[in-house]
Amino acid sequence: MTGQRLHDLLHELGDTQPAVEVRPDVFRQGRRAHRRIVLLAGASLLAVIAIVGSLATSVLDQRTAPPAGGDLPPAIPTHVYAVPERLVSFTENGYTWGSDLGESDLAVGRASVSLSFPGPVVISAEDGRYHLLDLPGYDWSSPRGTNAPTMALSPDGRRLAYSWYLDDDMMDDNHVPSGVRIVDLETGAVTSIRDDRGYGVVVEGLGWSPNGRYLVYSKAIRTSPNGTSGARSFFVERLDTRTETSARIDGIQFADHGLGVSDAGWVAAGNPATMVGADGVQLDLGLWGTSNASWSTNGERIAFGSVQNGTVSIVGRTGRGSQRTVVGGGTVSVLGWTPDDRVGVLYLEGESAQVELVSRPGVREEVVTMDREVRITTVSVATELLDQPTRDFAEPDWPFDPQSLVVPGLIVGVVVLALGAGYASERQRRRR
Amino acid sequence: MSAIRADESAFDTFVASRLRSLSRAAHLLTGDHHLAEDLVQTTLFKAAKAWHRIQGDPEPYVRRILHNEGVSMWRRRKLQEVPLEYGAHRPGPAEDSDLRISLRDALTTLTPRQRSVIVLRYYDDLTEVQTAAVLDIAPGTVKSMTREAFAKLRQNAPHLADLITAGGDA
Repeated sequence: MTGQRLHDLLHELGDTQPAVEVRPDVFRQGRRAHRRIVLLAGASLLAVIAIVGSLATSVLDQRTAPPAGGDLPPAIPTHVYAVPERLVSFTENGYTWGSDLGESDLAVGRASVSLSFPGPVVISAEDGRYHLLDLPGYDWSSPRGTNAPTMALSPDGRRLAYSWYLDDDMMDDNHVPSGVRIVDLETGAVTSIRDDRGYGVVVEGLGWSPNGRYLVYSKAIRTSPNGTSGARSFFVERLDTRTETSARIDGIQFADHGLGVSDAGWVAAGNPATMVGADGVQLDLGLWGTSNASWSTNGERIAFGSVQNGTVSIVGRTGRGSQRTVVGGGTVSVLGWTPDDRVGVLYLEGESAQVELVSRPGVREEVVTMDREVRITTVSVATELLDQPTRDFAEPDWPFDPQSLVVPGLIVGVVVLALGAGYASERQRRRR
Repeated sequence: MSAIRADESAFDTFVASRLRSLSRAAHLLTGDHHLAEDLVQTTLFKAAKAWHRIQGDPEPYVRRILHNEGVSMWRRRKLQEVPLEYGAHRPGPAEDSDLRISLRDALTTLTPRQRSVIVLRYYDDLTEVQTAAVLDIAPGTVKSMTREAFAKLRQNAPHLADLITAGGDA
């Protein structure tokens, strides 16, 4: 036998077999299977996009959602994030939140932290959400040109005081509506303490008494309709929020930084550290380089921040028993006293600002960190919550940022182009 | 729709002209009519699925599917079926009239790849290079697989030695 013989034998073997039967619809079955594969691939692609999208949404939701357990006590966040300046718009009427970003319903509940830069913001003590408030008549210009607080959260976090200047009311001759407004964050009600002198007043250096009864601030009367450059006639005022009556404090003319007021109505200011008692008598406390002031809950001591030397100073109301603790950073802002008699201070260190509790010289406890972009003089804290455990709240899902869509947009664009090119190529091939 | 109809018409024309040849090759690869039917059916189904991608003569593409699917089918069967005793498969001495049956039985002792090489080389009359192209292997591999196939046939079916020697040398 030869190779030809093997060939012949194989043919004989094969040729004796009948042809197999093929289903007549095999082609259509095959094409249907092909379409299923194409559909499945498309559905898979959509599923992947949906999964990625839902995962991203889920992550963002987790970052903004309140933590499990709705009955958790109110708390200060472990970290305070800076609010992006891009959320602010500048219109012919001045600064404001970008369209639809501001919340006009001010009943946002108890807050733990307030920030007055780049606009009025409170952080919920319940769920850590950031509320960009659309405060009526909020004086947006002041936070950008002052070191003194123009917004202050009450020690219990239930009320928010702010500088008010010319909202929807029309200017009447030289009387510009302005003064102080206090928002009840639980009901949304706004109380206005109006001062019609000059072109209105600039209110700065807001500070609450530990029990939340008194509010103290400095005022400057505007002598021109715009800005503070024409301000004159500075003075300090103490407001009794129960009676809504204010009293001028003559012992202190002006405070560059925050003022402090005790439960008894005594007032203190820094730079130089000064205290004015109920009898109106001024006492120089002998501390220089101090910034804002805050009274202890029992009214016996005053804590001062510092302008440059990174210290917190605690002094008795008589000027005795002075203690000074170095906490780091240059400017130190005193946030207030905790119920257990520690002082909350805020200062810059490294890449972030920090809140620490100082109980006595050399004993410090870090409780909160803040983005460095947060201007520490614009921060106020519900001091009654300072001795409670802080809670981790994820970074807020800040509203739309066009830059954040550049990369995903490019990817989606490339995928769409590729699919389109493939589809066009296939159609072209079929036409041929 | 006209493109799809044209594809279907071309497919039907191909099947009508090549079905017998494919059936014979499938028989030689499987040694069983029903398995051959399954093999051809599966091959044509897969060819239909990818019909839009086939450029030019579909024959080489379909033949490749047939042989690859033959291997896959054999692997699946290996997992599902209990092999018979060696002696039951071993072809015994045969008369010349039974030579075809002996050859068929002897082919079943080869691996599917070896069977494919034999069928492509000595039934479809492809060159080593063409066979290598269909099976997507190197021509040298075709040569060695042919040698191994004949060695196994010589061992399992000595009475086919003349045929095998001549074929192997061809």
